[in-house]
Order: sequence, then structure tokens, then C-alpha cells
Amino acid sequence: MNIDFINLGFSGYSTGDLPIAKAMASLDVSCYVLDYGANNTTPRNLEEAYIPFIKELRSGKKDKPIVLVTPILSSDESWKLDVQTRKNGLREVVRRAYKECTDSGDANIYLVEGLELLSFEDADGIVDNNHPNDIGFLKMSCRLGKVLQDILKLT
Amino acid sequence: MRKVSLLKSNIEINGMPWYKHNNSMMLRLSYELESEVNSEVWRLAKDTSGARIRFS
Repeated sequence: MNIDFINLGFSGYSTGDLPIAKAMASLDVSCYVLDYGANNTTPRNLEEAYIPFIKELRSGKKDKPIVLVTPILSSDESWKLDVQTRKNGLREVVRRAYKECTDSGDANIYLVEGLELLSFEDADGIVDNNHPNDIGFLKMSCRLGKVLQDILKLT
Repeated sequence: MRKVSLLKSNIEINGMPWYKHNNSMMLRLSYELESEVNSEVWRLAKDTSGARIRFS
């Protein structure tokens, strides 16, 4: 895509802290991608942080696209019911946040399903149940790249 | 082999938007945020993951 990017991922510690949102809102960027949902230990924790984080972003950048990504596959969702329940709960939080934003008139917010970036059919793209390997990252970047190209009208 | 100082060259640094603001420190966040984010986030902000240099 030949565009710059800024990585503000902090391993498992990116949980939607407001100072990070405030810092992001101060940047001169074209688009935000929020993909930290899997780091929150429970759907409730994510719910408490997620909408306030978006509102903080929007307070600074009212016209920039915000892309919300639901958690990608954890391969142990296939055999651990507690993991499946947690991940599905986290995904629902992101979907509800997207609906809340669009219902309140935000026309520049987008939802990307993590399972469309990395699904059960891509399980060879996961290294430790949770983290993509090189194949997984490649698949995710190609698929998310197409979405961003559309949103940013780069095609 | 020639060593080039980042501080004294025209090498472009991408992915570290607060680089100049931080007086050329290798941080992924503004230095003022150290007291506002948790210690693990700050520790990882000192890792330059995603930062790139471009020879131009």
C-alpha cells in the first residue's frame, strides 16, 4: 500500500487506556485501527474501556475513519469452551460498540470481523493458540489491507 | 562499512511520531506519558516495534 503506519501495540498490556487514546487523537493520521480487544481479560473489562476509548479518539479527530476489529481466532476455541465463551463475548462487545456509534450518527466507523482476518481455516497461521505466525500475519495484512484500501480510497 | 548516526543524518524515521518531541529518544510514546500509563506499557513503549528507517 506504500503508506506509513504507527504501531501502538503493547503486547498483552494494550487494554484501552485513555491516555493512549488521547495521545492517538493528537496525531496527524488518516485512519485508526483498534485491534486490542483480545487483551482484556473479560468482556466486562473490555466493555468498560472500549466506548470511552472511541469517544476520546473522536473528541480529537471527528472526521477520521476508525476501524474496529473483533478478536481473531484463538485455535484453542475449538476445544476449550471457556476460551470460546470469552472470545465470543469480547467480539460481541466490539460489535455492540460499533452499533452504538453508528446509531448515534457516526458514519465514519467500520467493523472488521477478526474471524474474517484469521479463521479456523487459517489455523496454520497461529503459533501458540493466540498469536499469528508469519503466515498468519501475512494473511491478516492482505485481508485488512483490502479493507483499508477501500476506506481510504486508495484503489 | 560506514557507521551513520541517526542524529546527524538525513535518514527518515517512520513509526515514531514523537521522535523529535522526545529529543530523539527511541520511544513509541511521548515522554510525558510515562507517569500516565502502566509500567508495562511504558516498558514496551521503549521497544521500537514497528519503527522503521528509510534511506533516502
